[in-house]
Amino acid sequence: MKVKNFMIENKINGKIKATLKSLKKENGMLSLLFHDMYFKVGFIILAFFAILALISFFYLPYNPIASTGPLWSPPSLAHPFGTSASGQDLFSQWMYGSQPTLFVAFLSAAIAALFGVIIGLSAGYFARADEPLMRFADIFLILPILPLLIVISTFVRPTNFTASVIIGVLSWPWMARTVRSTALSIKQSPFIEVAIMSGTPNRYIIKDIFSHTLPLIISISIFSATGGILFLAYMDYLGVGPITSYAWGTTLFYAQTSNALYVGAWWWIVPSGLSIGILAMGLSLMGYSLENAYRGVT
Amino acid sequence: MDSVSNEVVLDVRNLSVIYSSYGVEKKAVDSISFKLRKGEILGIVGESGAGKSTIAKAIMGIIDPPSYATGEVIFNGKNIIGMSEYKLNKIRWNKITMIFQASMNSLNPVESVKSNFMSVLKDKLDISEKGEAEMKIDEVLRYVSLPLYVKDNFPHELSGGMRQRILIALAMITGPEVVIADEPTTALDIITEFYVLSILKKNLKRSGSSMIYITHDLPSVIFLADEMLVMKNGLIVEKGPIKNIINNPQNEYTKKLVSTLNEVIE
Amino acid sequence: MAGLKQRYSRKYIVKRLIGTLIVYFSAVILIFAIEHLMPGNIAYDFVSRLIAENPHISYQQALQEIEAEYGLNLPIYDQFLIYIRNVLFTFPPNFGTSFEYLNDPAINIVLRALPFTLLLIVISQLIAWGVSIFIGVELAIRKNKKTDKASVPLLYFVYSIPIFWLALIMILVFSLYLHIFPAIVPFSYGSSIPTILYGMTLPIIVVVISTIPNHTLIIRSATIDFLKSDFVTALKAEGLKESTFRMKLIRNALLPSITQFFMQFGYLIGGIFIIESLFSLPGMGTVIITAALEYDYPVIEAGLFVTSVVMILSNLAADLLYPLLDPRVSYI
Repeated sequence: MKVKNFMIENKINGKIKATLKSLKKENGMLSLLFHDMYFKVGFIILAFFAILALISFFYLPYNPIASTGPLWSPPSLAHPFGTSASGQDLFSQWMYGSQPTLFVAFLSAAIAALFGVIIGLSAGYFARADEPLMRFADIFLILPILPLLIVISTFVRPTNFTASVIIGVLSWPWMARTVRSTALSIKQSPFIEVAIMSGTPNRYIIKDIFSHTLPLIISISIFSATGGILFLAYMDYLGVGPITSYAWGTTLFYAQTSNALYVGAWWWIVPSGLSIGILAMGLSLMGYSLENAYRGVT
Repeated sequence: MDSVSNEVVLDVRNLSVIYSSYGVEKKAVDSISFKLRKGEILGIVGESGAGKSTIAKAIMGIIDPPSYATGEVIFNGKNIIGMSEYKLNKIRWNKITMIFQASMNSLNPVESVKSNFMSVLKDKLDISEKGEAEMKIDEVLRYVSLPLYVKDNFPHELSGGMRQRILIALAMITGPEVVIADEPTTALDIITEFYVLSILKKNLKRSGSSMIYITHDLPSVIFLADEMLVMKNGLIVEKGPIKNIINNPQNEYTKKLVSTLNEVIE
Repeated sequence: MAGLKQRYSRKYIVKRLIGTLIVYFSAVILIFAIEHLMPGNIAYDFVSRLIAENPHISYQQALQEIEAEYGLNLPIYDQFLIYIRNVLFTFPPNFGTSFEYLNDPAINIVLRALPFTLLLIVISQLIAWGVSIFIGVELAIRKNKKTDKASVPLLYFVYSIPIFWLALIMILVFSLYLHIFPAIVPFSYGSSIPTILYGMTLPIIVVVISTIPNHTLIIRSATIDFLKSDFVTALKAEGLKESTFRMKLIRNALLPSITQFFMQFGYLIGGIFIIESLFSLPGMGTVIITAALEYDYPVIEAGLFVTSVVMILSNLAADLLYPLLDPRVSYI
């Protein structure tokens, strides 16, 4: 009777392990993630804005920058988000604004990831490079990023592309630090130590470390994309960003310079700012859930 | 044996502990029953994963949900399984204390030894006056043969043996009726181990407390305990006075345990 | 505390100070590089502005005079050496006079604004931090319960909304609809303390709200890690009072949150600058942003310089604070 009990227990135990294994092996971490509510919500938000951006390439109700309606009109059927001081349709402008926002978010994150991963992996793997590289990263960490961004932007008048480059170059140290410390701890794990001792060529080991760090890299990249959205918004709002591309921050800049606040034109202010917050929140939730899954699996 | 009376202080009846994760449940402890008498030292022996530490956690009521315990643990006429946190907190450390595994960092690493004691003194014995508290701490530190300066040290500044003696002092400070020691000496070398165990035994005698001594180390049970339980896979496979089990083991697993011990001695 | 000497060895202090100096030099050099390697001549803008105000000046003459005064006609390496001499070997560092407010040294303009910025940071962060510690610990204890599950997205949302937008909404609600605070209370260096505090109330509320999520999330995740640790299991077995238990969690969460606070100081200061500029507070943010928009180079340089120094010092302070909070850490 009791022996039978053990067997049943072992079977159940085996089942849990098998389920986890299949989740991990067959579908990778993705299927684990899609069981997570936060990831789902984040993904839906991102997908919504991505589709909005795609649609805006082919279809906009009005020309977003031309005067197409009455001035200062509150939301109506013809203009769901109202119109600006010069009669621009704010709904079209909002749709249009999703393009540069997503573009800068992802490009700046990719650039930060590129620098951060290369420098972080080198520092973590090559002991001799560690100290100088990390001191170099420290310098960037101590710099006041936003003021620098503002000053540089007043000189170079950035486009979406250059804005992404500047943001990316100023924010790589975060990635580098995390990648380095993870690489260090993976390097000290037994399976890598064995590989090093048995003379496995460096590039295989680095590849191995990289693949183990990848989920973390993706999660940090998502957080840097959030940072990219906010930095772009700050630049645009101050009027030093890529102002001609009409990202959401630009809408807010024009609202502010036209004194929308004191006229009480809330419809000019609320949707763009809310969208920045919701999109960035969606990305953060995905990053958070990914980080949790990574921590849980390893 | 002479100090053991027939008064039962802890009566465990059909205690089961079910661990639950990913919606799947697993019995870690399977309806076990035993009695702990006043002044008695009860050894629980078994390999790792046998469910020994789980029993300790169940008695202290610190099994993290969604895992849970069923059955009864009768202490002072009341079942403490499923008791409210408020009522449990009146029993925890006032009446039942615990000495944790030596491999664990059971002392708050960012507080001095003294502050680790202070919170217990304040919350459990209502001693908040500084001089009185210091005297009490000095007293228990002397009981475990520790120099008095250790109270100003931080846990990481002390050796493993010293930390274990501090945990013993911490467990004895309230004069508990029951002490649960969960592998209190596993990470220690053999000389320190028996030194710590003899200090433990001495202190139990002084306060007349009973103890549940959990370990995988048979010699230390023989050294310390009056009775013992042998556990395997969440079940009790054998129980009785130490001498009977050592001289005449019934269960296969116990036989193996005892024969290994004999082989080592020879 | 087992004595400060045991915590910091002389070797560590020397090493840390040298590291700080290196970062300081790098920042100074970088500020020069940003100003002088950027496209466009610094003087043109200034000269055209001068001529717009005084049409009788000849363009060439003005350009020559300005270039001579600011040393802009010299080769770039000479300019660099002069800059280094003026900044590193002069006290207070000399960045020249402001283009905008002639005869006023740029560094003075920035230093006059510094106290307002520090006041805003200190008050808002003390409040935000105090609130966050309690929320963070409570959420960690309630992990996976409804309160916690709903709070995480909310915190990320507040964290994600741009601080200036939050300010706009607050002005909309509190100033324009409810008339509780005026949107902008003009005050400056000489104003009375009540006026200053009144003018700072709304900005402080905005900064507090927008920084709470970051602190809270850090404290929450640190506490979740603590709750898994051995000594918390022991604390639970000790059956201490709820308040004692919480105080211990807070004490232990202090360290990671302080470290993170100083690591993210750069982001914080950026948001603070924008808030100052939006509410027209006479702080460094307003000074730097105005200077950047008006190409007032000496003030930009001075502003970036002072900001960097503040950040370097706070970083150093954080490093030296570390072993005092965590007895396990000693720098020997």
